[in-house]
Formats: sequence, C-alpha cells, structure tokens
Amino acid sequence: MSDAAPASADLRYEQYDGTKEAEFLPAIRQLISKDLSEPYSIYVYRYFLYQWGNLCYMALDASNKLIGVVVSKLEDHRSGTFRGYIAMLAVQEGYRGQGIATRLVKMAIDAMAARDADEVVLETEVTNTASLKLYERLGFLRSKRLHRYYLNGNTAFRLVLYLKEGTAVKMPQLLQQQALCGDEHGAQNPLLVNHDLVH
Amino acid sequence: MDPKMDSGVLQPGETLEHDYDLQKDLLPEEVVGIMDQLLCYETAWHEGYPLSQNLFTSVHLDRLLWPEPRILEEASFDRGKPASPMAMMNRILRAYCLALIKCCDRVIQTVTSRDYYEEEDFSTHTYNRSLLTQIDEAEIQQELSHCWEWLVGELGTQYNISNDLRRALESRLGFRQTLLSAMHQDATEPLNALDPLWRVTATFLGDMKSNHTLGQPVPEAFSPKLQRRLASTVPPRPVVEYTFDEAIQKMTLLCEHSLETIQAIDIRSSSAAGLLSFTWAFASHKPQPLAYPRALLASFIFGGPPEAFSSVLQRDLEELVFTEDTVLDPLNWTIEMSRSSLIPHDPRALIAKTIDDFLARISQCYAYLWSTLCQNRCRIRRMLCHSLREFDHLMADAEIFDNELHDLSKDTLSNPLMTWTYYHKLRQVEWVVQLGFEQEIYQPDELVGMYWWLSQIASSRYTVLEHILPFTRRRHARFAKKKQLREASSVGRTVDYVDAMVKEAKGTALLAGCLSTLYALLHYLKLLPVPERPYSAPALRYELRMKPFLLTVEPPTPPPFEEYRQKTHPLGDYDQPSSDNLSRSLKAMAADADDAVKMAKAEFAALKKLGAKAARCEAVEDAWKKNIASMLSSCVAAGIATSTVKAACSAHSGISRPPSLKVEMPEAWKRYHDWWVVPKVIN
Repeated sequence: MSDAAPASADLRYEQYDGTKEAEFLPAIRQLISKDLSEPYSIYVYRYFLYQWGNLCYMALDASNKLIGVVVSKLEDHRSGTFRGYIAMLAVQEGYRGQGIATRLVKMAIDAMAARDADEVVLETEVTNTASLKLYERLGFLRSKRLHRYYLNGNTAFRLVLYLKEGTAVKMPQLLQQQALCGDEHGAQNPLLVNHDLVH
Repeated sequence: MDPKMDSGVLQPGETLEHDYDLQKDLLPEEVVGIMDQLLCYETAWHEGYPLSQNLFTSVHLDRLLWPEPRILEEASFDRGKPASPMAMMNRILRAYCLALIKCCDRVIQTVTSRDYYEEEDFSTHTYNRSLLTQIDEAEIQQELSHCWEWLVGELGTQYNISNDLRRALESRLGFRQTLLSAMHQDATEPLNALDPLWRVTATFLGDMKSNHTLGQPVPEAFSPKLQRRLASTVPPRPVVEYTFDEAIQKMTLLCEHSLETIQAIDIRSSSAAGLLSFTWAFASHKPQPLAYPRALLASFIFGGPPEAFSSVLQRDLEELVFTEDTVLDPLNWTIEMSRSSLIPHDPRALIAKTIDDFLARISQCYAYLWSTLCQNRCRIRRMLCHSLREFDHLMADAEIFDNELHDLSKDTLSNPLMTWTYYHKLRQVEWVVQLGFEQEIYQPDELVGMYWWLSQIASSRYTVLEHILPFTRRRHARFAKKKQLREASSVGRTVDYVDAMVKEAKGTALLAGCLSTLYALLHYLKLLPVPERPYSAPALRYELRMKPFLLTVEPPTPPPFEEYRQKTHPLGDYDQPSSDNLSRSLKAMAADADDAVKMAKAEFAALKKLGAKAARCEAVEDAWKKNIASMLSSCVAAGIATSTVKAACSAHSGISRPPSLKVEMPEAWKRYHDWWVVPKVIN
C-alpha cells in the first residue's frame, strides 16, 4: 500500500436502508458501473435493494461518501437449497487492498447465515484473480466453469460456500426426480452476472 | 441522456440513418476490402457474438435483407429504385453477400438441429430477418458462377483491373462457392463430395490471406447505427472486431474441424470405442471446436436412419462384454416368441427380447452421453455429472436384465449388462474429476483428496476390466483351438482392447495415487500452504466437492468424511502429525509415491507398446500417441518430484522439514498433460 492511499480505519460499515435510497442509490450505481463496461439498468439495482436491502452493506467515510458496497440476495433455489447470491461488489479504487471488500462480503455472509441460508454462490471471471483470492480465502470453492458466461464472451467460475451440512443432497420439494437435461438450462441470468473488484 | 446507460442515444448532430451511398460504383479494391471485413464479422458471429454486433452492421447486408426479399432479384443494393444495369463490381459484392447470408442460414439450421446453448455457444438471433431461407441455394450459386465467369472471361479481362486484384476477387468468390456447397450437405446426403469441398475452402482462405493487402477498407460501409433498427429489446452493444489474420486463422480451423467430423461416419459403423476416442480427440482440440463443427459432428453421430445410432450402442456392448457371444446373434431376432402358453418360448427369442428391453431402457441415457461429448468443454464436465447419475441409476435395472440372461445363455460373461453399465459410469466419474483438473476447479490443497478419489475410481475400473479379461481370453483360446479364425480374431481384438484399458486404468490409478501421496507429503513438510478459510469447514467443503457423486448408489460412493479425512491425512493433521516416528513415516510415504509412479510409468509404457489399434484408437493414432507421451512425461516429472522429496527426507532424518525444498505449482498451460497437475519440487 502506498503512503498516499486513504486510510480505511475511519470507515463505517452500514446496512443499506431503503429510506435512504435518494442518498445512496446514485452513489451505489456510480461506484459499481464505474468498473463495468455495460452497466446495469436502475431496475437491476432496485430488484436487489427493494427485496434484499438488508443484505446490502456499505462502507462509508467520515463525510458519508460511499467507499465500498456489496449487493446480494437470498431465496429458495430450484435445486432445493436456500441460496444466497452475491451479485455485486465494488470498492473505490484508491481504497483497494485494505480488506474493505472482504469485510463487506463477510457481513453479507453473516447476514445470510443468520437467515438460515444453506449456501452462498456467485460468479466471477476466470481471470479476476483478486476476486478469486478474496472469496477462496474465506472458504469458497470453485464448483464449475461457465463457458462464455458474460456478454463480452468471457468465461466464469461459479464459486460456492456451503453453510450447512446436507446442502449437496437437498432436493427440490416438487421435483424429486430431476429431468435428464433439466438442471443446467437457463442457469445463466445475464442480469446478474457482473462481478468487479478490488486489488 | 448518458450514452453509457443508453447505448442507443443519438449524439448531438448525429442522425439515425447512415449516409453511405449503396449505388456508388465500387472499385475492385474496395470490394475486396468490404469482403474481408465481412469475413472478420462472420468469424465473430461463429465465435458466439450476435449478428447485431458484427455482420448486421453491414450496410450492404442490411439493404439485401430488409424489407424481406421474396425473390432473389429483390435482394439488391438499389431497392425501390428503377432497375438499372448494376456495375459489375457491385454485382460481385452482391453475389458474395448473398452467399454469405445463405451460409449463415445453413449454420443456424445445423446448429439448432442439435443440442446447443444459446449465447453460450452460439447466437441464433436474426432479429426477425429471414436469412434468405426461402431462396434456393442453386440460384445463389448461379449468381456466384456468373460473376466468376465474368471475372475470368473475356469481358472481365477487358475491364480495367490488375491481375492480382482479379485473382483476389476470384479467390473470394471461390471461397464462398465451396463453403456454401460444403455447408449445404448434411448427413442424409452422399458425403464423398464433402471432403474435397472443405479442403478447397481452406485453400481459398490461404489465398485470401496472401492477397488481403490489395483490398482497401471501406469503413463507411459498416455502421453500428444499424443495430438501432433491429427488432430487439437489447440495447446496441459494441461491435466485435477481429483482425483479418485472426479471422483467417479461425475460419481455417473451422474448415479443418468440419472436415475432420466427416470421419465420424465411417468410424461410427465400425467401432463404438473408436467413435468415443475420436469424439474425445475432437473435443480436445485447442482451441476447442466452435459450435458449428461440433453440431456437424453430432449430426454425423446421430444422423442418418435411426438404426445407425442404435447400432453404435449395440456395438458398444459387443466390444466390451458380448464379443462373438450368442446373446447378440442376429438369429435371435428372427425367432418368434411362442404364441401358446403350452409351448415354452425359444430361449433365443427371449434373449432378443431381453436385449431389446435393455437397449430401450438405456438408449436415452446413451444418447445423452454422446450429446454431452459434443458440447463445449465446460459443458461436457457439467453434463457428465448428470449423465453419470443416470448410468448409476441404470445399474439396478441392468441387474434384472442380467438375471434374465443368466438363465438363457450359459456361455456368457457373468452380469454382462451391469458390468458394461458400471464400466461406463466409472469412466464418466473419472472424466468429471480429470476435467476438474483441466479446468482449474481444484485449489492446490484439494489435490490430495481429488487424486485420492481419482485413484479409487480408476482402481474400481480396472477391477471391472479384470473381471472381463480372463473370460474373454478363455473364449479366444477356445475359438483358436477350434480353428474358428474369424471368431478368434474378433475376440482377440477385444482381448487386446480390454488389456489396453486395464493398463490405462491401472496407470491412472497409480499416478493418481502417487500424486495424492506426494501432495500429502508436501503438506506434512509444510511446503504447501493450506488457506485458513474462516467461513468454511473441511466437512462442508468435502460435501460440496463430492456433490456430483453423492447421489449415486453404486460403489465407489464417496466415503463418510472421517474416512476420507483419514485417507488424505494418513499421519493426522498436516500441522500436527501424530506419528511416533515421523521422519520414518514420511520416508515411507515418499517411497510409496516413488514406487507408484514407477509402476504407473510401466503401465503407460506397456499401453504404448500395445498400440493405438489395440486401444481402438487407430482413427486418431497421432492424438493417441501424443496423449500417452504426455502421460509418460507427467510420470517422469512426478518421478523427479518424488525422488527429490525422498532424498531430502532421507538426508534430513529427525526433522520434519527438509529446509532447502521449494514447491512450484505449474500453471495450467505449462503442464505436460491437462489432467495431471504435477508439482515441481526444487532442492
């Protein structure tokens, strides 16, 4: 870390609150879209923040400026698990390398675990070593490689963290017997795919 | 409006329409320039990007396709204008464009006729534009021929155009002609003509590469603005640019891969194991074959009359468990079942019925397996996880059919159908793990466990093969003794094949065992770090890792975590080994690993000696040899690593960490073999 890097010691970590949309949403959008070649529409943010604002955490500096953010969701997955999903993670460039992203991710995982999640998953580009390192240090494993997952043609790893025993053998309630080719189809949601990070 | 948020927004002063004049007479060098740019965009489309980001930015294609032409004449650059004689250069470009569009149409039809994954493999969107689907290909070929004849004929020679440029245009028209013809074929037509077509197409690409510089780019003939008028809810996206060299390289590869697939037709009718090795060799090309050649391969595997593919399944059974066995005697299928309850059924008719029932039960799973192998490499691994479970479920049924057969045919391998099904399941489990190494799914500290698991599976597989081998040898000896030479030779081939597979499976089990032990050793010597992973527990990671195999019921199923932990931590925790005499235990482990790799090498060497034909890989002999050479190199590298560790352990008896060792993990592209992650241990 260079001497010029802003100190992360003074940051506050806060759960997002829907009543402060006007204050924080523009900053969240700006922070996340800065690193993406093709930003999400406002609806993508609202999809997450309206339903799972309590799984969104922000790092703010003394003047309430947004330094980092994690956006996630938690819902029943068709595999039968109660699955947490980390959708977006970003930290201001000057603040990277100080563990801010890790702390945000930990807060999101803690919140999911407290809500009884079975597992947490996400995707990240195979070349994004900073992101891979961050999640793998916490305990995520790569479960599969996804060819041309992103719209720009890049390939992704799916990373998975089990929080509970028996997650692997959970079955969908209605569909006990999986159709032969069923599971993989439509697994890719182009809305929820970009992951940018943090060095 | 922010152009980043709305890529369709018009900049101040920007107009919606492009201002390119389509009636302008083009120079020959401009025509070459436009054609070459189109080839770059066509390549991007083959690579998986939607038409909107490449070919559909061409002003010329847009004019030809919209409004939709009902007849070929309507597909012109001067639509809606009074007909006037078209300048010859424009006409040549038009013919090229028409054939290009028709090629795209053929590609979409071929790809969509097989299993593929939209956007991931390929984008079939045409934005509501018909790619001349209704126009007869012959008309387009005729137009190409007409332009070609003009170019090489008297009129063309009078035209003020250099010979070099004339040849450049000729090669581009020729390329389109042959590509369109090659793509027009399918598995139902005679295929002997296909082979030369793909070869000539590739040759034309070589010519085009050499005279590309004669062309003059016409950037204004392409406009990303056209995206705004396409029927789509997706906002305009960046145009995907490839250089001409890249385009030539990728399209040449597409021709080579397409050409290669034709072999599948002959192999399909001769050997199931041969077709399998061919399909794997094809899928293992780097770069991996694109969606079009993969679909082509699938259409050759599955295409033709329905019995063509089902005979592959029958041949598969025959090659492993029923060689020259009365169970598959065609005569069985000519005998009718008894119609009277008083007359017992002829056992031969019952055998035929049992086999038919089994084939009917398994055919869908079997087809799914082949379809899996025609997917992109990442998909192959994921779909195999489903496929292996289906084969696992089949085992119980296979047992029932085996019991029926047991009473009907005495001189048959015991449990042939279960043996066959089990063998196929085990291979798939191995592939899933091996592709995991290849696709960098496993982190370094997971290698102990994953190589241990691989060695378990491969050991089970050679146990299965060793069940088949003595029976097949006895049968071979019997035929040989009776001088039934044809039968003896056919069973002899199976003996060789099973023998080859035994060596391959044994070598795999041994090398995997060696690496598992070696990595455990490196952990005990504290040469490989184990991340702390505060949010995870070893048992949960084990469960996640073994997920594809947990729902299987037939052995080997993943053992309980404690047992697995014991196998992968033979001396207890890596941090605190609990051995009484640690240095002796470590030395013993190093010696074990060293022995295992020597034996593995001997197995692979013996396999090499048996040859590609024995392994039913003669159709892909070069790839087979290369594969074995890579496995042998992996053995050598593993041998160096184990002996380095062994020597260090001996030299430093009494301390648990030989101080001077350092471990380097090879990067994926530096491995001798994608499936063997061999560490470099430096003293």
